[in-house]
Amino acid sequence: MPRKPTWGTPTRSEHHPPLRRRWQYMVPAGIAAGGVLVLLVAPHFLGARSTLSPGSVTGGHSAIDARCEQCHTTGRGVSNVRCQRCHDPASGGRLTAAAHVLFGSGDPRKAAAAPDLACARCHVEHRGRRESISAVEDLQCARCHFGSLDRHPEVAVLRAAATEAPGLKFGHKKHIEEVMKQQGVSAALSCGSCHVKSRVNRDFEPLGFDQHCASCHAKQGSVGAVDPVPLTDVVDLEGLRTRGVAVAPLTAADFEMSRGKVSRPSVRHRDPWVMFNLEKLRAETDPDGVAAERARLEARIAALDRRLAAATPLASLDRAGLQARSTAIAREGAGAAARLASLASAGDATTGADRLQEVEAAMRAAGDGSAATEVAKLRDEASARGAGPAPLPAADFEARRQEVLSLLDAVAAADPALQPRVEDLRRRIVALVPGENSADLLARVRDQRQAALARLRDELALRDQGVAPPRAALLDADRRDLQRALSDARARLATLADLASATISDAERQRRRETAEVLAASCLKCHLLSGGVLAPVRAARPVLARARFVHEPHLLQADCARCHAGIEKSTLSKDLNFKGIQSCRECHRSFQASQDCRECHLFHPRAVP
Amino acid sequence: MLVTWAIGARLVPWSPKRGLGLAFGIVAALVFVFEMAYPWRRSRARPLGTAQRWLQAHVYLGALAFLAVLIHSGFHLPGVAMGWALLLLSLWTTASGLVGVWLQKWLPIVMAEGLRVEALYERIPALVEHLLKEADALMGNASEVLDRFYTTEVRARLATVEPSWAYLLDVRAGRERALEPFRRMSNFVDPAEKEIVNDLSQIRMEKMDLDVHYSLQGILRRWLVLHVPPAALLMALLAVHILAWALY
Repeated sequence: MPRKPTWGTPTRSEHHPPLRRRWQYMVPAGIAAGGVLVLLVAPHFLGARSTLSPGSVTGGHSAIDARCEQCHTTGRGVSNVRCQRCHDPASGGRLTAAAHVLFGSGDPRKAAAAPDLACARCHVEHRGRRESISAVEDLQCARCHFGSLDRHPEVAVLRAAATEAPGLKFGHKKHIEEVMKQQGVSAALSCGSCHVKSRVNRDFEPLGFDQHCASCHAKQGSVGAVDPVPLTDVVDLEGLRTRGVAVAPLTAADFEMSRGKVSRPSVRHRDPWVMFNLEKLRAETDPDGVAAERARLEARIAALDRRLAAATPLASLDRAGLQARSTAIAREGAGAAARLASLASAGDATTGADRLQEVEAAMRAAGDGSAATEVAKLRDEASARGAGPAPLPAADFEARRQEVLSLLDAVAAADPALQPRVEDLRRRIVALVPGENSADLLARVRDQRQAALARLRDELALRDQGVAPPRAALLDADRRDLQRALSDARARLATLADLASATISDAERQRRRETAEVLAASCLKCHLLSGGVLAPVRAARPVLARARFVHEPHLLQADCARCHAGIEKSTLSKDLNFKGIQSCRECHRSFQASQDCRECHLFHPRAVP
Repeated sequence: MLVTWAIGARLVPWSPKRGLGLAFGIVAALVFVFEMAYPWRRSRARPLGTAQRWLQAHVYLGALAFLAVLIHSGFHLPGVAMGWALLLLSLWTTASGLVGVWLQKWLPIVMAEGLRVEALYERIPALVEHLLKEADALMGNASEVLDRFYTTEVRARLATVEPSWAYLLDVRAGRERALEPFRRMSNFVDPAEKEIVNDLSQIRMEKMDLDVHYSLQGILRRWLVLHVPPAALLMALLAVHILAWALY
């Protein structure tokens, strides 16, 4: 009998089959995964922090790669104060979003309302050594600004329509023609005669008289002569030596005296005698201007001194020092808050509004509807104004500040006992920016003190954990900038301090102004006189306030005329002959040059204003 | 999810640490935890849905979790080792899971259509042993020629289970070649013994069916090796990732 083929499940089993064990894979896999977890986490709690790191930090931070607490606070992520320890040691607050808004808009009220952005929001770390932490996505900028270069507004300097005069009487046309004639080059090649590529910053060397002007504008070192001026109006050579002014190239032979007048057949560029006497005559003819400048310099020195003091010791202060500073700043902050509160209560419109309401009711009761409407309008205005007086318009702001600063100067001169109070007021007035009133300033001061206090407390907490302060070298860049600004301000103040101002009649003032013009005649061939002083020269300085531009990479792509078309015909020193953002768009577009915001723009303002 | 990402990423800079980016990360992590609970929950499915529903949830949510991971990262490639490990493990776990789903759907159909015998995986060694005994019994009264043929060419192939990857491509692979010796042998034996040769060839075919079952059911069970340990490792790294986020 043939074997029957099997269809379906055979029935020959003699015993129940052993089934697969449950969790056959899960248990060993779980044990292995648990082992990996322990291997990764345990070292972290034993001190080897790198096991929890999501990746290497960028090259600039490599020194603190495995020292998480330099940036992180357990449970609170990366706080701004940790970044500021190294990157804003001067506590200038320049890395805050508020500083950015003020830098961009110049509007302090807008800046005060700016959100408190975390540094780590834009500067993403742990992306590897080769990445740049300063590389920020355009989308971050687009949160507040336009989203693409196509929608970029015209550059501010062109939008303003009036560019700042560079302090010189200058026309490219005349100079380019002269270079073309002398060197036999085309207009396109003539630019390089003055605009020389820099070896250090991929841009042009700064323009200077000796390098760029002297060959044509000085004959054997002389830029002209000084016609006779009354000896009584000027300080002679001996007088300059007595006052410690460096007069090294000058000798008595350079002066010609005749009938109570002194003249100079030849003067050099930046002649010390001319410069000093111009300053002296300015002090005599415009004492208010000099006093205001002196006050502004003193206030700036005080502010810079304060920032330098705040910048230096934080890294090197011991615990007691940190606590002392913390107490002092807390007191300052409390003082600002108290003054702000008293200002708010003084300007409280509630009482006035109540009275106005009573008046309005009385007017209505008397049947005078138009007067009642006027009163209601006044009441609405009073209640809408808020704390403090409304800020001055920007146009009046500087004039009022100068007036107040010179008044303070007079107060300090009249009563030396008031000097500390005057200095404090000076600092506060100089710290004011157009569009800000005293309440805004106090609020800003209070916020700054609170921020400084938060930093100090964080520093104290870090010291408790044994975290070392940042290396002193990291603080040097800021300190250097501050010290340079401080030394410039002190030098200028020293010059002004030597100049005595005297009360003179209007006629005498007018006469001395004329003397100043005679003295400066050689200078005024090229320079401009502004408020009794030679206007500062800003030749070939960057004109883009909120962007950086380097010429070198652009000159590899195109010649000067591509962006500065027609500059060879320009006759005014303020001419830029720059087509503006349209010029940028010609190359900065898809598949050509980068359109990233960071290519040109700065988010953070520079350290020292 | 993609629409949410597309709109969200246009409105604000996408970041895995904040806002929607973080929300998608949290969603992905929660779904991964749910996915790991599947083996525990499956056997206790009722009253919270049937086992089939739990399996469906495991599959669909797993695929969505991987999409959530991609959205969490903003569709950017990671820049660091931990990020790569998490992304690749997520990808591997999801892909191996989907391969498993395909195997579970395709192999049973292939086996049902191409094989005559059905057998539980665990019973196959016992069935093979039984077939060998049956074949040995058949050879009890066989001629010397047939017995030599059985001993040298057949018995060894019946003695043990012979799994092969070739069955994944064709469940009837090697049948013709395996039957060829039996056809050849039937020409050399007495007519009375032809029936024994025929029975032997049937046993051989049944044994091959069991080999196919053993191979394919083995794959159906063992693909989990590619899925479960990486998933467990993913959970470990996810725990590290969450711990680092929570601490720092």
